[in-house]
Amino acid sequence: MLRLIDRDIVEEHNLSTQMLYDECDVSDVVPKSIAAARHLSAINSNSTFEAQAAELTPANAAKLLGGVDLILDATDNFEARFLINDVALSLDIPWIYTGALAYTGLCMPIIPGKTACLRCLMEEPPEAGKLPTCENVGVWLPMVQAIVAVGTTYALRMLTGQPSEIALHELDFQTWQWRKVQVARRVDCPACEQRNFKFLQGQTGMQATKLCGRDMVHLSPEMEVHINLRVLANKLAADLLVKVSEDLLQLHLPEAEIYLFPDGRAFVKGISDTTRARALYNRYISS
Amino acid sequence: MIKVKLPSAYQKLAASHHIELNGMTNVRHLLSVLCERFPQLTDELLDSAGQPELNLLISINGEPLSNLQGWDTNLMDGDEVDLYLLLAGG
Repeated sequence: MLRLIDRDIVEEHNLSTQMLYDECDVSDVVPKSIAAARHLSAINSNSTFEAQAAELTPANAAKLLGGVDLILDATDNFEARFLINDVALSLDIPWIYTGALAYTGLCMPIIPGKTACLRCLMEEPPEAGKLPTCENVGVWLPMVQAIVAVGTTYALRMLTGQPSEIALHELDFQTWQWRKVQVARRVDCPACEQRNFKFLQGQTGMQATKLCGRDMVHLSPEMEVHINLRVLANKLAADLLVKVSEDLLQLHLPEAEIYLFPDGRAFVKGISDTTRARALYNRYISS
Repeated sequence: MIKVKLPSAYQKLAASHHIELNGMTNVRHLLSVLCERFPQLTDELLDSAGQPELNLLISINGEPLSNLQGWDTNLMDGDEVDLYLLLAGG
């Protein structure tokens, strides 16, 4: 069984870099995890794919990531990775860190109790705004494919019990270098040695994240909620243009569009200011 | 002579991804010389408090600093120093 977790919906700009989606997914505004599961099922109907259209949060991480043999990281931010690291260590599940930016890709398997963990490499996330992002340096598709090949090779070897040299790999298509370094566990690591899982325990309030490279903000409520989208749509439709299905409510505003999911998460498209996005959410959804 | 390999993200800032330096005593010294010689790198290598960036990983002859003496690890003629930048992108 492959459990696919993604908070996003398929958009046109995804089609050139994310091979599992097509134009129908864009026009139907399909959540990525559901579209991926559908396409993978069409390729191999003997396998089981479980789609979770959800954001990974401290409240749901143990439930979403639990009960699996291996976690594959395909995220685009350190906030999610520090959370995955905490959950994986606390549940004793191996995971594989994979990241790509511009012409560079990185990959390292993390096996609880055996190898260095993410916080052995980097104790805390870097200062906000310091890291290069796909917004300012882009992502080279062949690099994504190359570093994913490294990660899936590790995954297949681990799942079939084949021993592998565990190292941090760096591929670079600018310099044509493949470097690797074996990172030892830190004797004072707060996560894998001291079992301090602060990323799993923390966070309060509505989380707002500006999405890389787009005028879009993702909002996620602190607590798990369930919104009856059709009831809400009926209320909003008196004054606003609303489109609704079982899984998604689309609200068209003069300055932005809001895509709302039943679990209370939303994308605010057309603006990049997180405060403004929260304000629109509060005005039209929370009330 | 110390050979330093930078991640390609720094290549434009340092004009090369492969630099050779003389007279380096330890890793902290090497970082300060890199910042002196290539001021554009300072923001990338050091945080606002002047400490090495959290997502900067350094190895000497393939051995990460965490296995050695950290930023005070001594450097010797012929050492190869690799700088890795942990990436958030995906």
